[in-house]
Amino acid sequence: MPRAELLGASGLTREFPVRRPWIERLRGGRPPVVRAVTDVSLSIAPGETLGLVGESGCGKTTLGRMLAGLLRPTAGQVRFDGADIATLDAAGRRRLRQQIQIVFQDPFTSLDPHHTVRRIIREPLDIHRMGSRRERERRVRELMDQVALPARYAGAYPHELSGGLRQRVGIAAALASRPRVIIADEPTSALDASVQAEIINLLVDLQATTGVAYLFISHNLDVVRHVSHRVAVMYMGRIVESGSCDAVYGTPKHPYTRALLSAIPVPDPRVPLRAGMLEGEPPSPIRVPSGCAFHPRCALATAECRSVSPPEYRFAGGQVARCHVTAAEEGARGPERREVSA
Amino acid sequence: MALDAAPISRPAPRPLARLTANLTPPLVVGLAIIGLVLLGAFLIPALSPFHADQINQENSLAGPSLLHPLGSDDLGRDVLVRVMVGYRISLAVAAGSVLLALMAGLPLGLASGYLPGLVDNLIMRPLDVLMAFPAILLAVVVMAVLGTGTVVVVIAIGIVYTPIIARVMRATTLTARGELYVEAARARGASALRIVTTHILPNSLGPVIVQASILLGFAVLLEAALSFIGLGVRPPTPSLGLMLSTERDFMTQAPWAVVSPGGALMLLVLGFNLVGDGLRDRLDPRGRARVR
Ligand SMILES: Nc1ncnc2c1ncn2[C@@H]1O[C@H](COP(=O)(O)OP(=O)(O)O)[C@@H](O)[C@H]1O
Ligand code: SF4
Ligand SMILES: [Mg+2]
Repeated sequence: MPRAELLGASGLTREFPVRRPWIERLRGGRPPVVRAVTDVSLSIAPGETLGLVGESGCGKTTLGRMLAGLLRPTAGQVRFDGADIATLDAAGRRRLRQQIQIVFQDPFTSLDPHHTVRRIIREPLDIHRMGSRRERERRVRELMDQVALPARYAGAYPHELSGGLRQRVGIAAALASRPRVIIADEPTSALDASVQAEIINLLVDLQATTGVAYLFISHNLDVVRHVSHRVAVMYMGRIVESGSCDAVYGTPKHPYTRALLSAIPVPDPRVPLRAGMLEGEPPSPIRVPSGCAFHPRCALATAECRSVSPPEYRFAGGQVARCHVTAAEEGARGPERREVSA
Repeated sequence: MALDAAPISRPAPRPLARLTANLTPPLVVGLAIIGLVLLGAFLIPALSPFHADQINQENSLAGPSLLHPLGSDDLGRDVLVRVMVGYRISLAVAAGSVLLALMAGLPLGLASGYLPGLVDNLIMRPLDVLMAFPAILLAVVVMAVLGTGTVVVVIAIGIVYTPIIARVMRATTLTARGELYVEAARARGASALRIVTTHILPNSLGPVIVQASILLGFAVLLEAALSFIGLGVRPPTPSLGLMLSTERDFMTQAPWAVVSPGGALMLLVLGFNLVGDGLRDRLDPRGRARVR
């Protein structure tokens, strides 16, 4: 592997059973499942930000939970620091819990309403027994300072804070155990537009001072471009395109990425705008379309697209995209070796 | 970097502090009733010149007077003092039995709510069977096994109420368990024990406290009913239910000897129910601010 890898995944798949009324269960058949995540491979280097974009319901949170070790994959592997996290012993799992943290989407429900700000930020230190009581108190003050949370809020309860302050508490708690990766799951989408930029800038600043790596999940391409070194675009559980920010935003290869980018208000002149893109609703994840899952919405779809699921084609710029047509147009390499990292 | 708006200044969110911050009329009236009952139960028997068991045949079934504000019973005993001593029994039995139900029901409900599947079924199915019996019948069955007496009444009522507490606790645990802050605690590496004791329990306590205060009222009634049918507190002790059962023979001659314990019973049950109602929906620290 050319790059140092801190957190990585290969072939990650996660299915959820679908609840059926008992009368339908009587009719038998294979119990239906939702495939929230399908065959995802990615890799995050120390101190790097990988942006993950995709429409709501495409499987971003599910992928993040698997990467954090909170959800067992149906298939595939998550590596942290070179070790398969499924094989960790108790001590290894504790270490993992300390080194991977999550910032949740909703700071209204992800903070315990009965705990004070001080207690919420200190909890990871208490759990991992980091430092003496005095040192923990000092660390809490330091963390509050780091996230620009005035000390007077230490005794406040979450419901007494505004959304932006609450998310600062969530970030401080995530930072407390000095993690090496933070999975930020749409950390600003529940906040007022005016506060979003502050939180984004805070996350960027914190990376500069602490060297933490991020998986930055968002449905906002502008924000992802602003914070990320590399991007992965997700569609119906698969990563359909990934590469450096410059490559993906500059010369998007997958029609879905192109459609998303054309929806950004300031169009990039290098990207041809195509009418009729992203027509229709994303199809239901219970009935994933055959072949390329994007084909019912794709203006370029061919007969091959309807029957053969596109593999990860490697393009000249170094990015990877799952599209038969653009791969053929540009002579991109198909996967002789199935070692492709996002 | 600019900061967000200052926090909305609102009263302290701690459950107890919120109680005083949310003193609604039912809560105030209920607490006042219970406070007066407690005061009377402890002061009146101590200050009165009469003893609860002090028999005075000449005074049999005498009407209310300055000396005996609620009159006398068939044996000439002071009804006021007997009612107040009866309150002591009622309160002790109610508090003891609900405490017992909490001690058994909280861990059971917590475990079955947090561990769905086998553990949940092992705990809840037997409790469902207990709940299928009417309270009084179940209490009678327990007493048939354990005998009579004040302590047995406490145990019997405690057993009757354990499944009720367990159910409320299980339901609130199930809700709390799916909350994002529990997932957040898991992500931080919190153990199951830590999650249950520091996150789920405090967040589930509100509905349990409401249920417990309502059960206190029902426990008072249940004790009276058991004593009324002769299964509860044994005769020399002046239980309200016992007084009702012996004095009802003299209902027409001395209504005060029956109406007094009956009214006293009603008042105390009303007090507990008002407190329960007043507490309902007020123990969630997110409280009304979110609803508005
Ligand atoms: N615990 C679960 N049980 C059943 N289905 C789930 C569960 N979590 C997610 N899903 C399903 O998986 C799909 C992806 O969800 P999610 O990962 O939350 O998407 P996103 O975060 O991109 O909005 C959705 O169709 C969702 O309904
Ligand atoms: S593979 Fe075919 S359907 Fe899928 S994105 Fe490419 S052109 Fe469209
Ligand atoms: Mg999500």
